[in-house]
Amino acid sequence: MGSSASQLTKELLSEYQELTFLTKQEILLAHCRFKELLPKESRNTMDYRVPMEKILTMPELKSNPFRQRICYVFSTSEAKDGSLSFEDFLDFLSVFSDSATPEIKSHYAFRIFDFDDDGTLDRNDLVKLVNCLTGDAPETRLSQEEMNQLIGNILEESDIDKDGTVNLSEFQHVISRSPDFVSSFKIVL
Amino acid sequence: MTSWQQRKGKYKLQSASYFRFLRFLVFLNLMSFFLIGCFVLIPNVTIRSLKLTTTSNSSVKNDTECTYYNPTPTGLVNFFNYVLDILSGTGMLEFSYLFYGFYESGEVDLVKKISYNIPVSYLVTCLCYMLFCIIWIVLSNDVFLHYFCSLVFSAWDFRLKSEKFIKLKQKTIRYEFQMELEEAEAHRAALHRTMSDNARLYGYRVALNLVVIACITGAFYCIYLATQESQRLQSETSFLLGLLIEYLPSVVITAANFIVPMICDFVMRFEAYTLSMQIKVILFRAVFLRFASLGVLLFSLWAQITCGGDVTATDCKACEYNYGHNYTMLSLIVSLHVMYKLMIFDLLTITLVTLLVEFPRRMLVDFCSWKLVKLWGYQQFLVPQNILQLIYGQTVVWIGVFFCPLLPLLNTIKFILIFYCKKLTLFRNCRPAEKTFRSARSNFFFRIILLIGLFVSCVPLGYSVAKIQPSKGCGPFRSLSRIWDVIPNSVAELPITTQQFLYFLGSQAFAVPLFLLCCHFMLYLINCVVF
Repeated sequence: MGSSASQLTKELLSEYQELTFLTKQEILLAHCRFKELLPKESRNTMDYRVPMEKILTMPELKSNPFRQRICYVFSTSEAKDGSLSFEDFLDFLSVFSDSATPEIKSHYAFRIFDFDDDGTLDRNDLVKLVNCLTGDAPETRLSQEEMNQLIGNILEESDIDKDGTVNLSEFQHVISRSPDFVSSFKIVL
Repeated sequence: MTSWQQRKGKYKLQSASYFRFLRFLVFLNLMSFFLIGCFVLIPNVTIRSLKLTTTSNSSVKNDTECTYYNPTPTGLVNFFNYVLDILSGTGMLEFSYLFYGFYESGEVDLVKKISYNIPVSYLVTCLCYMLFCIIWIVLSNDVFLHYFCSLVFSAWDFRLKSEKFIKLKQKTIRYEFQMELEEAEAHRAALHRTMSDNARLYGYRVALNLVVIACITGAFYCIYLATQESQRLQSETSFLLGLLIEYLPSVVITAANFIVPMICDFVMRFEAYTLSMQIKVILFRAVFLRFASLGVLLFSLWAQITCGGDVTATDCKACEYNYGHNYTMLSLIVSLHVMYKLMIFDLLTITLVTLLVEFPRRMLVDFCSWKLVKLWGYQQFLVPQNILQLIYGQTVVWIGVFFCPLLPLLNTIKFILIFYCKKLTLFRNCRPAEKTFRSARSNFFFRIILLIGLFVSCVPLGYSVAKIQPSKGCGPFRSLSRIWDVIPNSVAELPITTQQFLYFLGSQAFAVPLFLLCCHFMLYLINCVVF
């Protein structure tokens, strides 16, 4: 879907409203912010894919420990380089919006936490997850012993089929019991 | 970034559980009020305003000594009297729907054969209200079978933008994880302690516990004395002194609840518990103190009301509505006055402490440059103690609700006021607690304490329903010898098959297995969370 105009047409706007959880104002704001990320010469086409480095300069993502994972998960580029088109960008905002359902959110949370993209959360994924949560510098990481204990406890609680990994349904089952998750899995421009 | 904004960030992380619990209690009270409103309040209001006649089964002498007291005073009444009335629950409030005495007795014929039996509806609604509370508390639980998973998977807040907040959040998360792991380590260490170490440690603990028990017993004795004196001196005419005396039990209970925990904290330093065990012991002692002081209060009231169980004592013979002296009709009203006053006093304490202690403390720390003052610092916002105060307030309401049906409504308003008051003080005057309480598991722990409070308050209710003779002059049960009698009387009017069914439900063959099943279910829930 290409558009050579730098303004969103009414048809496109209503189409985006139907396909995502975003409201009209949110889509227009997203459009504005996306245009700012485009280099000057490409401001008139919306086909352009913004490279990951540029996306990560946004204040909402700049310090987020999961920023690279977010870009990789929502990117639809064949090169798997984390670059986002405008529609990828809208997808991202839609999942993190106020009106997205808890199922969608937990699905994407699983994908973001799945650092090696193999469809399950294995031990390495969980280690990387905990490091992101506590800060990845040597003085902020948990000690090796603490990490092993923590991962062991997580796997014990959530791994129902005992295969050493957490799959999507086990993850969603856990998340559904957590009251804080939906309200904290939000990014608003 | 101002320090206020930094503190706000850290608060949201810790105090969210307090405000969530408070919101839960507000909802509980609001729902209860709707239940009571539908089945007790609205029918009675309609009956009274439509002036429908009530037919009662037994005759009650109309010229008894228990005549109604005219609440509208003659002559000039100043605003001060209204304020006093509201504070002490007497006067115009006494003859309102707020108190049990105002409700009619007997049946009202509505349409042909259908009649609305007021006493039955009152009693049954009250029992349903208790049942409803139990079910609501148990069912609205987030059972934490997956404690570590929830901790890790929903730990991150994606709304955080600034680097400072993010680093703060990471620090908090690390601290939470480390606390969990420290627990495990402490358990392992406890298993490896030597015999002599253990013996010495347990010796210390026994001695210190005796100290704590002595303090608590002292507090109970003071409460007992205060209640006795308060009842005895109620005939004081000076308004302000009289008010003070009326509030004496509340004052003593609050003072005890303030001083004894301080002593316990001091004693705790020598007891060498792990961090989370410490918190549990502190809470256990605080819970015990609060519930037991309410129990002592009720016991001393009962001793006064029933003259220590002696029905022939001179004070307990007549039924005269002359408040201050005689005790049968008044008995019940007195007991509900006390609950009403406890509730009001609780609200006053919280607001006044905020105004008179926390704000000035902050002012002092901000503007005074003495080192000692800076070291003292802002007030800490201790989540567990604050939640305990809420549970105490709710238990008071549960004790008083049978004789004061509108108490849940008042409680809703009170909790809403506390909500805004605490929010204000949190951001302006407090700093985060140094030892964070694990908010995930603690939620269930607090619900358990709330349930215990509910069961504790069922005991006086059960006793008064089954044993105490209701007053002859007022209230829906005036013609009966026991409040419970209204149920068998109305069951006897139902068709035979229904009667047999109900008798079966009440028989041992059914009730005992049901009770065992409920206990089993409760234990299972507790088991899941604690282990």
